[in-house]
Amino acid sequence: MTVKIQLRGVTREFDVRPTGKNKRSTQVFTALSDINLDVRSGEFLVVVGPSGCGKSTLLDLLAGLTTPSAGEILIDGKPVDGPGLDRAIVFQQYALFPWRTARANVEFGLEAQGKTRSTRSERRARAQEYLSLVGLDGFEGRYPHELSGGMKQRVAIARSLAYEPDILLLDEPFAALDAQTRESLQDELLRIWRHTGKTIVFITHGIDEAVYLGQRVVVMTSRPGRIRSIIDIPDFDASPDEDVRSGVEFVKYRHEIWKLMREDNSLDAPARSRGADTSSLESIRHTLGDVWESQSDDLVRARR
Amino acid sequence: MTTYAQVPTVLAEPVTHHVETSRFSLKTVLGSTFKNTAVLVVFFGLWQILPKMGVINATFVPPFSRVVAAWWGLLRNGELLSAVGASLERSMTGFGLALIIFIPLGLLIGWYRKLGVFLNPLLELCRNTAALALIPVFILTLGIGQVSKISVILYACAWPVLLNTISGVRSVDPLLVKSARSMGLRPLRLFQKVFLPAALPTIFTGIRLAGATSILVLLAAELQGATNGLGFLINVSETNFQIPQMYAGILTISIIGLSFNMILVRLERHFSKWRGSTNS
Repeated sequence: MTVKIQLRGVTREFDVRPTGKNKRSTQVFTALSDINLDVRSGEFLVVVGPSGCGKSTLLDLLAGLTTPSAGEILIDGKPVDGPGLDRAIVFQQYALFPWRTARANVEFGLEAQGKTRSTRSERRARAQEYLSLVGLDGFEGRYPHELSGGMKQRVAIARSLAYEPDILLLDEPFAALDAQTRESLQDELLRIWRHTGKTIVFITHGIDEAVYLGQRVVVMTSRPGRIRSIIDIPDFDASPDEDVRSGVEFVKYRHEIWKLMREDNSLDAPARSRGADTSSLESIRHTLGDVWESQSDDLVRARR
Repeated sequence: MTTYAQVPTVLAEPVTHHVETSRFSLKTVLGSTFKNTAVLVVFFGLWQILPKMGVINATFVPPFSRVVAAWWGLLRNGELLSAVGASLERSMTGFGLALIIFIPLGLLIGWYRKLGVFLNPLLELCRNTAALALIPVFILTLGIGQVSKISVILYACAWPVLLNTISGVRSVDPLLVKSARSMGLRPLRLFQKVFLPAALPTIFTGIRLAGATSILVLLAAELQGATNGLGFLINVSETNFQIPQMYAGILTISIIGLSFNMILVRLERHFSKWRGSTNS
């Protein structure tokens, strides 16, 4: 298999605005440190990690929205030079343009390609096609505020697919959705991936989600963000009416990743009891992870 | 994100948005029409009855029917129309010029942050200087004619338009900008495709406020040294003790202000219909 994305010693640092007494000295915050990773063409790669491990920073780098402080990122062997329509991002908060209808939102990326590439009616047809692909026939005239969270995310996915990028970058796309909607969108995404053969980099803090979706799962550690381990996930053979997530294999992988993440986390919180029931501990970790993640991400963004 | 949070609070003019919770239905239209007019019926009724009963001195507050009769008279002899024409010409010229000059200027200031930072103290100073206080200055420098009156209106309309435009451009959701940038939009296209549409409802709020201002300030401008217009009509009627005519003039200006505002509210709603009850 050919390599689609290469990360070579990628480091990303931010200047932290000094607080407190020593206002003169600027501190440097290392969000990502020495990341080396190859993403294969057509692969579904999931990056999972605790708060502040720089997952979102990694995605911004891949998107070309920021540049590495050190190291390089190659796509098809060429260094990333700013954002481009060969990559698409799906954000957790949908980022739909509220003044545009679902269809006009999907057309946005096509308009960004330039008028020479497509006529108005071609764009319209293409938008319709991709809205159908995500199961939103009949909703093309709705404004974002008239759609549910899950539908908004479907529109966002349709928008990112419509201009036919090679790579799909998803930044915790289902984190804001309820559990049921999340599961159905996960299946939908897998279906779309098999159907289109895109290279997908999917970022999440949910271990279940990582194991369920990924062909490979990159486990990251925080402060500074590093790759701790990369785990190959097999296809879980299961009939449609079977719950894959409760299968023995699935649970084994989930536990393995959970251990990797906890070992990292225990450095931060050594006082945590070790003998406790794992599932409840994990749910606590999930909850805490949510909070930490959102806060630290906001912090990182604010520092930009 | 910090960069967007740096919008000075003082620039955040009263930005009110009309949020439509539901679409109009016949029932709600009729219901709201009744609710909106009931109090007016009572008001004009009292205006008619109280002077007649002698509770209010009918010399200074003539009954409503006499005001209407005077209004009709002024309309018949053409005085009212020429006054309205002269007033609207001033108002609309000042208002229109304010839009033509200050929307683009606001877009520029909102877009080029450094320009905004540089200009902000001056803007704050001017904004807090009442247009009415400047009427003598305008008359001294620009004379007593049309130019000084239009200038006062232009000045008064400028601030709501300018400040709302600036705040509209600055308060665009950074995530939308990020999303559009990730699709490779260059700054100019970004401005056209994201900043402008996102800022439009806020800009329209400024336009609506300026519309109201243009009528309010007009009167003050016409009270001094005008030879026509509604302000002049009101002033002259008062001096000649034609009290019903004076009230007719006042009512006319109220109706014009009301209608103009209604038109602008409609337009504003039209351009912000994508704003639901919740964000994006």
